[in-house]
Amino acid sequence: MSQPLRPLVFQILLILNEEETHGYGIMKAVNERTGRKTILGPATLYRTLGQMRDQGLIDETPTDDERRRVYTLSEEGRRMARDEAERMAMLVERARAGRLLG
Amino acid sequence: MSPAARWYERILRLGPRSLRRDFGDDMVAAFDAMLADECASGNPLPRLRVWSRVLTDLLVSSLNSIRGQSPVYRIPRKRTPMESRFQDIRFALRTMRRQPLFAVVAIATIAIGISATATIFSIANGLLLRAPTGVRESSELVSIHRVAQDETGFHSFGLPAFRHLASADNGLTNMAAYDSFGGSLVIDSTPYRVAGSIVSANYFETVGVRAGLGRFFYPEEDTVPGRDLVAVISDRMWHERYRGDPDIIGSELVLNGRGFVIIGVTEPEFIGHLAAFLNDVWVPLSAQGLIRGATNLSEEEASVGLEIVARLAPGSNVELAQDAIDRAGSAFHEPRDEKWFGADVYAYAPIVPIARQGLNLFLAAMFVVAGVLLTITAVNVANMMLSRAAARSREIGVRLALGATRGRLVTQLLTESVILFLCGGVLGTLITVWTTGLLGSLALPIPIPMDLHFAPDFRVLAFALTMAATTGIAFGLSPALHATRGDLTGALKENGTPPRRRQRLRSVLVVTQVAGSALLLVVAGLLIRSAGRVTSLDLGLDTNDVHAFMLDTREANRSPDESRQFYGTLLNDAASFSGVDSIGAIDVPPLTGSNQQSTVILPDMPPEPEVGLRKVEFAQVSPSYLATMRIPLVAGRQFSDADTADTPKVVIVNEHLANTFWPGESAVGKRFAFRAANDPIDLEIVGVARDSKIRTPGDQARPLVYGHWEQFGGRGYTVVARVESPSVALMIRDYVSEIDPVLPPAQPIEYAELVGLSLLPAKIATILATVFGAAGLLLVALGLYGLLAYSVAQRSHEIGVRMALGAHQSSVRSMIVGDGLRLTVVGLGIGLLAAAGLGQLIRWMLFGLSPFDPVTFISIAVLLLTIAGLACWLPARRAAATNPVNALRAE
Repeated sequence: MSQPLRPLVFQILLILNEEETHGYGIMKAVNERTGRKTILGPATLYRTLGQMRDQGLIDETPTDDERRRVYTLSEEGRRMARDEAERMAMLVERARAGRLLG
Repeated sequence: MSPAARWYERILRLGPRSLRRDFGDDMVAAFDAMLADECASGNPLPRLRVWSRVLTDLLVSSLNSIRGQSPVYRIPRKRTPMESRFQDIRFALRTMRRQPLFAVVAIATIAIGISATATIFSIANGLLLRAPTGVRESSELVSIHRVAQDETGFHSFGLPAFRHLASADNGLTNMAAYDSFGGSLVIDSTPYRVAGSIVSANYFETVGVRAGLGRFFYPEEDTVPGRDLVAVISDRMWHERYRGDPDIIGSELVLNGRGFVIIGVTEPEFIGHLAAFLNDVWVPLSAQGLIRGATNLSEEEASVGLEIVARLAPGSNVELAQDAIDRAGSAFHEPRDEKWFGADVYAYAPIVPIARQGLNLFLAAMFVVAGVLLTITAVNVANMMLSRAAARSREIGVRLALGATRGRLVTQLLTESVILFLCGGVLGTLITVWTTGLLGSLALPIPIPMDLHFAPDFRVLAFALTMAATTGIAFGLSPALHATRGDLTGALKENGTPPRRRQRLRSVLVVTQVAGSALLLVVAGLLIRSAGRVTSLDLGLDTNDVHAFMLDTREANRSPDESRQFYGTLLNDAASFSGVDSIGAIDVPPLTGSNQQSTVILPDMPPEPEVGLRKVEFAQVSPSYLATMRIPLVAGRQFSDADTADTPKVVIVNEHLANTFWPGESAVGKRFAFRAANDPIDLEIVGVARDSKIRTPGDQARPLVYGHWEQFGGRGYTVVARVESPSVALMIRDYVSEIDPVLPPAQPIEYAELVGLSLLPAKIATILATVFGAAGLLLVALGLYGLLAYSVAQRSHEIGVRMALGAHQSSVRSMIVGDGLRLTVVGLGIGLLAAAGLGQLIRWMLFGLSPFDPVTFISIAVLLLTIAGLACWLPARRAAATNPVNALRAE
């Protein structure tokens, strides 16, 4: 099992699992999905994307517009996302067993 | 791009560069889009919200990036820098425990260097920095000195000058005058010697001391000569002489034969505002005449010599006070049109003002010497650490491979070295407690109570630890950087060839060490050789078997007539004691560091252009003095009984004076005059004496006038007697008490010991330099051997190759020795050059020995070359004996 991921990274992986998109698209999606409780800004986003790319979790494909690189999930990223989802599912199971959840 | 986006782009430049380079454009585009999405309405509020978000975002992201936090993984929280330090410290202590021998040797080595510097600092601390107990806010205090234009002497202020300055607008809140005196105190009809000061009424307020009992002087008590006979005594005297009697206030104190009323006791441990001298009694300025036994109080008052200590007004400083004193001084005209010499304002230091310059010079030289020793010890330890780092290169290589950053490893290695040095600093401070104890116990052969208190305090500890930490970083950094420098694969291999850089560092260390020890040894050698010369130095007089008695009849309140009678009886009667070869008297004994000057007026010469150019040394002597000290006459006659107070004044001058004022002529029969308060004093030269040293054994030749004591009249004389045995000196002492039982007994002091007093700085310097030099030599011998042996061991592969290719054993040996000697020669060159520079600083302690003394320089060079040669030879022999097959197989 791989190392636990930061929530933001897990979110990004989930988003990219559904569709490939550019940076701003990810930002908007994250902000919507978290109910705009915390707002993701460009610096944090791109710093995270850069690291994810360097560690092979995502792939970067340039488009015609130089400023709009499109990101896709890599195999490694998909595996990590699955691991993280399983870890969370396990935790959710525990919460159910302890009657924290219905 | 919108103007807002352009601003965002500019702000991005403050953030991490890597992020900007990689994603700068994307981020600006995202920002632009965000702004467009959120602020479509043109309402300024959302716009502000976006700005605050992106700025916070940039800040947080930059901070996380600096902290090295991974944006991807929820890995355990990184240690805070503080926790990392603790871990480093724990690790360092563990390493020390694992290699206790290394730790002990390194700490002891460092302690030697640190204690050397801390000992010197303790002397500076005791005499220049640490104000004696009772002196408060000493940073606000200044001392004011009068200067002579020729800078030959030290001049005190007259009472009119002091009163003028004190009442002028001087930028000071308080200005106090003081002058010390030696007195006699009679308690239960037993006379004791006591050190006291005559002070202005505001003295205690100025220095900040408080009364332990009673009160200090009222302002009016120092105004009318001889009216208010009041005295303040020290807590020390109160306890020692009066057993802490609580009813002491109001009782009588008999000082120099006069009764004073004790009005106050100082707070405990106050010894005066000057270090080292234990002052036990204070009387107001108005008592000056009485204390000095003046016959005419107002005349005596005019001739008083005062020093000034003052407290700066709030917001003032030394420069402002100097300006104010200059202004006040220019408006002052002393009686009889004497010129205003000018006065210098200095920040207060606890040392006696007259000794300050000499002390600074002494300390500067000693600091250099101690600093060099510290450098040598630090180099030794740096070398030890370098060797150990090489031995640990695998450990370091593994950690680097596992992802430790270089910065982290360097910090850890530095922590180890700083801890090692700090331990050395603590041990060094402990050693300093002992060394300063030794220095403080140096008994001075003078009848003045002294307390040389150099014991380390928090300041010394802070100094030692700062020195330790600084050297720990300075000398730990290079080995740490070298140990962690790149080349992982090389480090992980069992036996990598040494990086060239490490060799270079070792060369630098060898050169530093040789240079430092050359400097130390030359200084020690010069001082030792000059100390040897002092005993054989031609002083122009003979102190062997001469005992001195310092007497002052004013302490028994004797009049000038009584005094003349007393000294006459003493010298006449004692001369006939069996065992007394001869006996004489002089008011300012030579070679004790003290002096007295007069200004000469020559009849047929124009008035001198500048003050101080015709100053000559002056001493009053008994007719038998020159014979007693075996100072021969070269022309003219001795004083005779026919010269009396009623006949014209006659003097004997030394050759230097005769040759200066009457070159090529006989000075006998010439006339000149001394400048005096009233009319010039006319003098006739009747004899010329051979030159002798006056102030110190290393003193330059100075013009000197001997006056006949009966024709000048004084009451303080040092009686000198050439005796067959010390017991005869004790007979003379007893005889003094027999003639005048009120006079405190005068202990005989061997004159050679008294001369030793002026040699004291040189003596201390010689001891310190010798100890430092010996320690340095030992450390250098060990250090050089270690450095060279190690670098030979590192080159075993190269040597193996050379020998496999047919190099002869002897050529390998000479290669290794040659390499070592080359470095030694470079170090020697640097060290000897530096020693020549430092020699100038200690020239005054060399007593005529040239600071470039070739004997010292050559012998030190030979000594160091020999030691370096040996240190190279041993590893060279081992290297040459290597079997090339083994050396190569070890790879």
